Order: sequence, then C-alpha cells, then structure tokens
Amino acid sequence: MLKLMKYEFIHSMRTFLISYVVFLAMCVIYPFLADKFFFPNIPFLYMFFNLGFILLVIGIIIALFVSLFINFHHSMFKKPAYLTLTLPVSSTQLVLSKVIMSIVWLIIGIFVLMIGLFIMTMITSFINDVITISELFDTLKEMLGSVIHYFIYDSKDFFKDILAMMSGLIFMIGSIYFALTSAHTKWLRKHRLIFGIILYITIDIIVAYIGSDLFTSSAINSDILAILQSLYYLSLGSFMIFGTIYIFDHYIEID
Amino acid sequence: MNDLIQIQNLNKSYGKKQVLRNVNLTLTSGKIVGLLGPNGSGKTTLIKILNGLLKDYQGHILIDGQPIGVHSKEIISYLPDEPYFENWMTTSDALHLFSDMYKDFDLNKALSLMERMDIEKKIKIKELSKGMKEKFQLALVMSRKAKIYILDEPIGGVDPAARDFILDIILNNYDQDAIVILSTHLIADIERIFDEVIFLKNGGVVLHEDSEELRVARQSSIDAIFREEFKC
Repeated sequence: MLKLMKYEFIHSMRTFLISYVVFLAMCVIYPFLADKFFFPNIPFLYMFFNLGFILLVIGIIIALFVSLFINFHHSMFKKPAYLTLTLPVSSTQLVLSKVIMSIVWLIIGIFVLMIGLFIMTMITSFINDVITISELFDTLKEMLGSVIHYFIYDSKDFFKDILAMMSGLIFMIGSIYFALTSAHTKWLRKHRLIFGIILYITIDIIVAYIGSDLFTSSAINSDILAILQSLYYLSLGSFMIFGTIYIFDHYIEID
Repeated sequence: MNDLIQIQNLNKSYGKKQVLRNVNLTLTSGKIVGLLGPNGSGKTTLIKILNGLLKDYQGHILIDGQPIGVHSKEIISYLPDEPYFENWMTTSDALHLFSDMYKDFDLNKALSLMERMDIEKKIKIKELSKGMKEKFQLALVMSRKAKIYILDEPIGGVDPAARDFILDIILNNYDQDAIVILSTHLIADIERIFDEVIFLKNGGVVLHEDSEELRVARQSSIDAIFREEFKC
C-alpha cells in the first residue's frame, strides 16, 4: 500500500504541482499588474482587475478538479490502466491509495491557496504603502497567535472544522471516482468521459439538494447540525468509494 | 505439469455482439501456446479477461487453482499490444516500479536485456521509437520469473529483422515450468516455437491441439492450416 501511495504521489505530482506553481506565480505577479494597470476611471477594466483576486481562486479550484479527473481517468481507464490494473494489489488498495494521495494533494492545495492569498495581500499592501516591514511581522505574529489559540483553546471548533473539511474532500473525491468508474461498464460503450462528468454533476446537485433540505432546521443546535452535515457527506463519500471498488471488482471494462 | 489455466463455459458480449462463445480451455505448465485468430476473433478479449481488465463475463476461470484476483496478477506477466507507460516515465522509473511492485522481478536480468537492446537507463520512454518501446516493455515482462506469460502481439510492431531477436528473448528468458501464451497474426514467423495452438473463430475455440501432432496429421504448416481454416 505504501509503495502504491508512493507511485500515486509521483504520478499525480506533475499536474498538481504545475497548478500550484502557476497559482503562486500569479499571486506574486498580479499585484504589480493591478498596480500598473489600475483604471479607476474605466469601469470595465477597473472591475476586471478587481475580479482578478476572485478569478485566481476560481482558477486554482478548477485546476484541482481537472487534475483529479485527469489523473484518475488516465491511470485507470486509458493505456496506463493496463499497468495499473495488472499490478498485484487488490482494487481496494488501488482505489484507497488514490483517495489518500488525492486528499493529501487537496490539503496541500488549501495551504497553497492561503499562502497565495497572503502573499498577494502583502505585496499589494507594500506597493500601496499600507504596511511596513515591522507591521508585517506584527501581523504575522498576530496571525500565528490566533492559529495557536484556535488549535489549543477552540478544540471543539477545530475538530468540527477538520471533520467538515475531510468529509467534504472524501465526498468530492468519492463522487468523482464513482462517476468516472460507473461510465466504464458494459452499459455504456461510447462517450464515457462525458457521461462520467454529467453523472458527477448530477450526483453533486442531488446530494446538495437533499443536504440543504435536511440540515436547515432551526430547532437543532447549529454545532450538532454542522456535525450531522459532515457525517452525511462522510457516509455518502465512503459509500461512493466502496461503490467504486465494487465496480472495479465486478463490472469494469477497459477499452 | 499442472493445469495453470482452466476456463469453463466462458461467454462475453459487448452489447448485443457476442465476442466469446462457450470457451473451454485447460492450459498446462511448460508449454508455449499460440493463440491464433483473425481480427475480431476474441483473442484480445480473452487476454483482457485473464488479466482482470474485463470483469463482467459469464463462466468460470481458475488461474493456478484460484479465481482471477491478486494471486493471478502475482503470477501473470502481461505484455499488452501497445506500450502502457506514462509520458513522464524514464526507463529507470519503470525499472524501479517493477522492482517495487513485483516480487519475482529480476533487475539484473532486465538491465542485461536492456544492454543487449541498446536501451539506456534514465532515458524518457516517450523519446524511444515505437519498436524500442515494445522491446523495452518485453525486457521488463520477460525479466519476471512468472508462472504465466501472456504476450499480446509481441512481434506485431517490429521489423522482420527484430522478430528473431524478440523470439530469442522470449525463448531464453522464461522458466521451463511456466506457460507462455502468445497471440499473433504473423504465424509463419513464429510457429516453430509453439508447443500447442488454439484457433479462435467468431469467439469460439475451433481447434486446440499439439502443434507437432497437427502438422503431422495435416501434413502442413500451422500457417497453411490457419489460412485454410480462415479462408475468406
């Protein structure tokens, strides 16, 4: 299993690393571009550069989604599948190693996102003389203090947030894997990737719709509601991961 | 000799099209078996099923006495008809992967085969020519001390001069107790190495015999018998 995870890490490293490096580079470059081409008198361009922050964040999220889809689809259903699926390991080991490494890359992605936004804010502040070096260190110290306080004194919130994050990631990965794998069975002969993407979107919409109905009660404590919502996504994510394994064991068809 | 592969009443359909029809085969160790048939006869489908790449079929298959699973993958060394390496992989990456994942992989043997093939270490596989990629893949597959070798069109993509070299690699690198299943269209080039031949036609086994007995009985080469059997 560890060897499989090692190769999964090496395999997925390229797509994820490229996304992260491009994002961080854009976070460094963007404030200079925004400063140079600031057009407060031209509403369209002013809005465009203000949107840059949001576009960068959306860009990295889309890049992570695409990386998850491409990595799984390529190694499990294209030519490399002839190697991946004939390795002397069980489907459970194969799928779980991919799930674990995807979680690792997505958690790294969350940190990269925070670091990128922090860099962008700092550079923008320096360019506009809003902050000095000593103020920057004070800000960093303050942020570190808040993080430590959060870990030590708000352990209940910390646990709740970790559970929410992990259940969200497991659901996202599980639903992508399940949708793509379902498309590679005898019931579908053509346009398998497109069908997989449509199925993923459908699953997401249905689950979110049911979730919004189930977890909006004002009669229940909000903390309990949040934990129940996390457990809802965790159980559905786990169900889809094991569904993926089941399909690999009983119905898979590699072209 | 023991029965390494037992196939009973195997049927497989793609939609309404039946590609394997009631296949029954028992293959014993210590043999080189030619799996022969025209395009669309079901050779690749049968090979994919044996390797666990197609799971939805009717019938029973036992490999070394066990259903297809982790054990069968441990003892089958499979060469597909096209290279399966990732674009980023170097020859060294592939060697490390095989060393890590297959207990029966002999790294020194692979390195010596690569030297014979003039394939360098640490070179990107995608930079190799198609023929060199196929040779490299064959070197990896034949460097395993497997019980079953399944080679799908191993000489299909190489020039006639390289075919003898590849046959030599196959003949000199498999364990004498193993079974080698070899699928090919180029029967004349390869028939001398077969101990047994299987003819597949429209998904069914039309012939499964000892190749020498077949030649004697029909007073003809396997290639000629094949041409006669599959005459359009």
